[in-house]
Amino acid sequence: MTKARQVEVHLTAGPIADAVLRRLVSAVAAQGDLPIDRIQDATLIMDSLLGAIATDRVSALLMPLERGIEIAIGPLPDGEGSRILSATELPEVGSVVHGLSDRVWIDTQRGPQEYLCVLVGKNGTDLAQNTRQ
Amino acid sequence: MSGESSVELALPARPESLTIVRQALSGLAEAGRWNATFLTDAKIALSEACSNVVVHAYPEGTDGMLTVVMTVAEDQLVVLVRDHGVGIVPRINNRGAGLGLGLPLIAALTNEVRVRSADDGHTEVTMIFTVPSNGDPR
Repeated sequence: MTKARQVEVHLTAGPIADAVLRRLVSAVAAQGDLPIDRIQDATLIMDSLLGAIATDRVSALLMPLERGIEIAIGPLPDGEGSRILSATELPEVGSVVHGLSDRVWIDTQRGPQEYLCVLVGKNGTDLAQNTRQ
Repeated sequence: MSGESSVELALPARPESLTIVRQALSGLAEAGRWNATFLTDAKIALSEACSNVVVHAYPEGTDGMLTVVMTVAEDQLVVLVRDHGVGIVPRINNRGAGLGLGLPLIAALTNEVRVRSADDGHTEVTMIFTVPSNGDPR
């Protein structure tokens, strides 16, 4: 991953965020050379996260990787990342985000506030080594 | 959509970013149920402004940023395209890229266009559109 290819987006929550971020995730994931099923997974993850965000504005960083995409929601207040993740849990199904992604983590190193980060790779492969170059 | 809504993007000034910016505008159109003709016009104008940044704003071989802010309030869409480089240069005398239409094309597709260059080197193009109502075939 190169930060030079990062897309930063801030937008109004609700229908606009749903429509815009779904398209942006698809476009950035395509830059990351993901197959169509994994692009769809990344889109579902974004939908799930958006459904759990409780603020009027949404901020996100989208980064194409060599074989994947990293989605970072934030900056968020302390604890909000975990709350969002919990809110994406479905009865008897569990977490869509955990189930479809390669890695999920709370990043506190990007700045003064935390980011909820999700990595989606080509075939469920571990791309963690590519995410901090 | 009711009230004021906005989408702000900061992304690399590279050709592939044009796809991202156009997708963002399409998302706004989907949420606002804009008609296809208006969306096409707005996409052309936006693409032209962003292309100018990609092609002209930064010296070749250097990385630069492109900022796009789209704001919708009632029936008005305001799109601001900003670079942080040497400025957006109209293509009138440049045969190197694109259709060579540049800002005149943007002016033809918008209700109003403003170009502002700041002392720190960044240039802003602000495009103002009237969004037709759903039943307006314009």
